[in-house]
Order: sequence, then C-alpha cells, then structure tokens
Amino acid sequence: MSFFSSLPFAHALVARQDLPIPAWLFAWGASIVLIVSFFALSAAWRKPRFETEDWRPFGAGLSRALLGWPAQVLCGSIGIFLLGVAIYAGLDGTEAPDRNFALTFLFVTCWLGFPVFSALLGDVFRPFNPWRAVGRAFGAGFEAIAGQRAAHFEYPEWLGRWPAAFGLVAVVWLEVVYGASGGVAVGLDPHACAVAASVYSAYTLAMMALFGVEEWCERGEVFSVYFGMFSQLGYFGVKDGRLGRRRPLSAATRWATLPGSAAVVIASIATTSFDGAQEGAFKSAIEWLFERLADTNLELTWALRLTDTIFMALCFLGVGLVYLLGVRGMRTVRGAPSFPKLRMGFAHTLIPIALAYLIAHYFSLFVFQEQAQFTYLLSDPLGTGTTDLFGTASGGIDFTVVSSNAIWYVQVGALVAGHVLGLTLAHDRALVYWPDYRDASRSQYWMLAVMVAFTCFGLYLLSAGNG
Amino acid sequence: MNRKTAILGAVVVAVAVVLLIVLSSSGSDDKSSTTDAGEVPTIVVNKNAEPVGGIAELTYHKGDQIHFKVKSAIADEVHLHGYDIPKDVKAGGTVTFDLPATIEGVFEAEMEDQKRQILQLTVEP
Repeated sequence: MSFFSSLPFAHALVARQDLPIPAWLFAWGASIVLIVSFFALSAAWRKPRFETEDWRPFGAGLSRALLGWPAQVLCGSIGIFLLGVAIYAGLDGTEAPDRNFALTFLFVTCWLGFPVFSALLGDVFRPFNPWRAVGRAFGAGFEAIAGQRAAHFEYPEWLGRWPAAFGLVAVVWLEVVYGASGGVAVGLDPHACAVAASVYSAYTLAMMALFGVEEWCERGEVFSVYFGMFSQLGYFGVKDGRLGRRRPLSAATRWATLPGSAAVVIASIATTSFDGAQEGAFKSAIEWLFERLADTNLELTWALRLTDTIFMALCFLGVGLVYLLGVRGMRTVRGAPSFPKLRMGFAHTLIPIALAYLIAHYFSLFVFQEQAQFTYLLSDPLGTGTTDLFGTASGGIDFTVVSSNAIWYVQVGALVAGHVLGLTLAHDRALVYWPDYRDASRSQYWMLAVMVAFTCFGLYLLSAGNG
Repeated sequence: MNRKTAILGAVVVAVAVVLLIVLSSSGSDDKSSTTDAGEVPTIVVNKNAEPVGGIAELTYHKGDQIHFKVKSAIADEVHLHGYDIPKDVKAGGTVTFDLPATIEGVFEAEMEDQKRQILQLTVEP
C-alpha cells in the first residue's frame, strides 16, 4: 500500500464532487473557442471602444444613501461583526470544517462570492471590509484627539501590488495545501483558519498604520485588491464619491497600472488551476512526487504539503510563462511598445479568464455550500449542535438542486464567455498600441494563442475531474 | 478578409472539426468498475482501517440501485457522504448499503473515526 493512502483523510466542505465534463462537451467547448477566436480576429472593430468609460453618475440622493457615513458605519460594523463571528467560531467551535461557520464563511461565501458579486455589482467588498473599517475608525479617532491626520510612510512605488499577489497565493495555499490532508481540497481545521485570520488582521492593521488605510487597500490588502480587480469588469462603479454606471469592461483597462498587477491575475488563474488539477489532471504526478519525498523520511503530511507547494509554484510559473510568451510574441510585431509596457498593458485582459476559472471550478461548491451557510451554519455557527438561533439548524444540503448537466453547461459556458471577454479586451488594447489595424490584428495572433491555451487548459482540467 | 486570414480560418475550423470528431467518438474512458447485476461488491477493511486492494471505485447511473457491503476488521462508523448514511460496524462484522442512486456526482465513503477513505462512488446522469 502506498504512503498516499495511509494519510489521514479529512472531510471536504461539500461531500459531493463534480463529475468530469464528458468528452463530447469538451470537444464542443474547444471547438467553439477556436471558431469564435477566428471570427474575432477577422471581423473585429478597428477603433478602441473600451478605453473611455462613458461614465454616467446616478442621482446624488442614491449616492448619499449608499455611500454616506451612516451607510459606511453600518456596513463596516457588519463586516467587523462577521469577521469576529468567524474567528470566534474557528477558535471555540467544532473541529469539523463542514460544521463550523468559519471555513464556509471565509473560503466560500466571501472568497468565492465576492469575485462574482463584484463583477456584477461593483466593489461591494469595500464598504464591508472589516480592516478598512477599523483602520478608518482609528484614523478618525486619532484626528479627533490629535487635531491632525496621522502621518504615514510613503508607499514604495516599486512594491505596487506585489504584497497582494503574494498574499493571494498565501490564502489559497493555506486553504488547499496546508489544509490538504489525504488529497482533500478543503481540510483546513477551523482553529488554524481562525488563527490565520487573526494574524492577517494584525498584519493588515499594522500595514494600514504604516502606509495609510486607502493606500494599503489599493495595493497591499489581499481581499481589497483581489475583489476590486473583478469589480473592474462590471457596469457599476464609484467615482469622486458618486455611484454611477459605465461601459462594462472599460474600468479594467486602467486597473493594471501598478507593478505586480499582472502577478495578481496570474496568481488567481494559477491557484485555481492547481486546485482544479490536484484531484484530477495532476493527481498521478502529485502522488509520484509525494512517494519520493515520503521515502526521504519526511513526515507524511509535510511531504504532501511540500509536494502540493511545488505543484502550485509550477502552476504559477506555467501560467506566467504562457502569458509572457504571448507578450514576447507581440514584441515581434512592427511598432510594438516595450516589453514591460506590453506586459503591464495586457494584464487586465486575463481578468475575465480568472473569473471564468473561478466560476468553472467552484460553481457547484458555492451553490451547495451556501445552502449550509444559510441553514445550519447560520443557526449553529459553532457546530456544537446545541444552538438553533434561527430555527434552521436541522437544515441540510440538497444536492439535487442543480444537475450535473447544468453544472457542466455553467462550467463550459463560463470558460467560453471568459475567453470571448479576454479576447475583446486584448483586441481593444492592441488598437491603442498599434494604430494600424493590420498590425494590431497581427499582434493578436499571440494573445489569441494565450487565450486559447488558457481556455482549453481550463476545459481539460474540467474533463479530467476537478475534485 | 484577405487570403492569409481565410487560410488561417480554414485551418482553425478544420482543427476544430477534427477535435470534435475525435473527442466525440472517443467515448468515456471509464476506469472504474461498474457493478454487475446480482454481484454485490464487498469492500474489505483491514485492522489499519485501510481498504484491501486500495480505495474501491464503484460507478452507477442515476436511478440504479447502489448496493455494496463493507466487511471491517475493526469497529467504526462507515459513512457514505453526500447521501449522508452512517452505519456502525462491529469488529469482524459486515454492513450493507442498499439505496437508490438519486444524486449525481462523486462521493466518498470512509471509516469515520479513523478518517480513512475506503470507497469512491460515482453516480452518472
């Protein structure tokens, strides 16, 4: 018997995994991607359309109601309260991840929910961000007492969004590598989750004190940067304190202007890829390397963690390499801007792909586990079986609420839609850098190859089983 | 559309069609065992709570009757997750699972106290 099967087995959050997409659907998905890509190249527009937002603010009353200080205090308080409940549940509740409020709330409701809702509704995390709320409250208190605003260090320009990129990898590593046990995606124990949330809170508040609340949220705070990235795709936004609507996708064209932005979106695609592949496409390779490391007398759980860490790093390198090859290819086209400018200038085109990967890999997890979130986890957050706050503690998950066929269509539909939106943004940006339409089109052969690679890889992961 | 683009398009469409035909005709590469009618698969669990011969794999279609036994050398709870059916087994005893396949997906059965997976159950549409 192998070392792998002798690892203790941890409960996954959801006791049901998706079936791999069938071969015929893989084939249709890949074919649609190729055909759509061809027509995108041959029939696309010749002037940039997404570089201007076409901003139209809503009425001042609506902005005051939703963005005024009473709403900010209320939303911030809700955010602080829910983070507190999650940490408390993690520290004092059951060790079973699927029965404890902390895991589902932090890693499903927030981590998976905010990207989608941000893309649809704008940056909805910002008002609920508990660390921002605490930081602003401290700032206001300091100003009231000292009679002046707190002074901060100047944020190093070169650091850009790199802290957020590393933080994003760390969050997913904690969830799917540190928490993995016996190959289960979410086996993180709630206590470790609560400790990590507490440590992250202390770190974030310290960084806010050093560099300023808004500065850190814009560049270093993992959740603000990550969810904020997806909010750039949508129709709604905030500008100069006013809520408004804009041309969808247009805000994304100005997002990747800070160093490290490309790393954030690449990290998103890479970490999702790893999570999707570890139970399917990479399973044999992971087992092989794990057995080699276990032979060196490394403790088994740490041998698995080291193995998974190596594969996650390889995913990051692989995704980054494919993107950089595409950028390098574009450099060969006449009149191309510099490599760094291209690398930064096209990073936003991967945001739809990142969102598509998230939806494709976690749609069913979100649908099923949110039933738990709003039934027994809400009424019995500690999972002790002794409380029933809202009378829903005996509720459960109905796994028949969405069929395998529906899940497959959502998965493939998300990847194809992400592909089309990514191509759209890439073509539009090319028209900015290459005023000659023919040169712009030529440059996009390269980005098209990048997009096709990511989309077909995503389909492959789904066809190989995504755990 | 110029000649070069037309050729590129033709190549892309040709590749797409070939891909479609090849993959559509390849069928499923199901490596797990589908149960034969009349034969009840038995998973034997040793004293280390490990399934003899590795984690068993059973595949059914929705509407089929899921039917398998677990013969265990140790006392524990055998838990079929997803369907959420726990059954206590005594040391040296056997428990039988016999239920309709109503939920599609991939599920696990484990020796609950020992935290060992013993079965991967697949229910296809």
